[in-house]
Amino acid sequence: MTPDQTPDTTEDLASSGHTKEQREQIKLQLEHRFRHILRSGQVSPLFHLLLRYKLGNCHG
Amino acid sequence: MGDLTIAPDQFKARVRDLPSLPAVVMELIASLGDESLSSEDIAVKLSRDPALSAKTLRMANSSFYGMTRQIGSIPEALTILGMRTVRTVVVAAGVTGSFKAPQDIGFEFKGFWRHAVGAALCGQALARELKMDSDIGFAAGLLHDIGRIALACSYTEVYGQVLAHQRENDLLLFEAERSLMGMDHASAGARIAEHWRFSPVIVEAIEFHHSPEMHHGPGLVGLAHLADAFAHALGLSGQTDETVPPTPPDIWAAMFPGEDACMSTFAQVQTQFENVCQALQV
Repeated sequence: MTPDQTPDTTEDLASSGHTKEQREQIKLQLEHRFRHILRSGQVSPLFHLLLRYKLGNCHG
Repeated sequence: MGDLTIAPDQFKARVRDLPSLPAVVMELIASLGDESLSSEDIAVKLSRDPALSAKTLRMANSSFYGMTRQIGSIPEALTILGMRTVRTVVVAAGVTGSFKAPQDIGFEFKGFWRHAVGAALCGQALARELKMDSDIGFAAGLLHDIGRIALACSYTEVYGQVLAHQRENDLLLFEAERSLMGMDHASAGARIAEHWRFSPVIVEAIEFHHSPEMHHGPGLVGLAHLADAFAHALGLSGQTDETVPPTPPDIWAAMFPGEDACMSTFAQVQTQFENVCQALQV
């Protein structure tokens, strides 16, 4: 994966077993943790990978 | 707020007053990557430090290593786990027990060590994926932020103001440190690592983990940077305001181990983390 590519999270969003609220909470939590990078407008492949991991697992 | 700048010479002098690591731990960190170290040598040196031996055995017996029976002695641990693994365990046990918590400045002592252990596990897992030395990856992750606790212990009042400045302005820690002290925990950690005579690759990994693009090649510096980023991303310190430092795109491109490897690293680290923290009492 190159820095400007991000994994597709659509599949995980559909199949994770999380409720919509839980998915939103996970996303908000990660956005807060990555806030300095996201605020600067940078693309973070790590953010997208972790989002996909968290949405695909039950670790929260 | 007065001038909080710390001159490099002033810091070097202060480093000498910091607590020393146990001699055996310093020797083992210096020997990372050296395969000629003998098991007998480690056993003899550890026998002079009962507290460290006990902590090493607790870690060796933790579910992290999945032993089906109890390991009762250091020689037995060396036979069953091997010299390289025991070396890593002794380093972790020794380093995590060597500092006292700085008081009343908002320094999260437990969070600090939990992040260090998390980065060590990320460093170890990523090193395996990248076909690098996993023991050195573990040590680089464990030690990368050693400058943070050293600054908090040796410049307690100044560092308290740095932490307050970081919180009030929602800065990355190294930004707050540079703006108030004129230095950051990465350079402070490297000076301590030199003072403790760590191997040069570990010193470089500590010094450049927040500026890997300043180093001549990614290697262990890139690994320490990624281990730090992964541990912060997983929120392992347990601090609510934990924040992930940015990774330069060329470092990501050079070090990226693949999507499957990242997913496997996240899962492995999350599975191992609490057991290792419990064994190391952090």
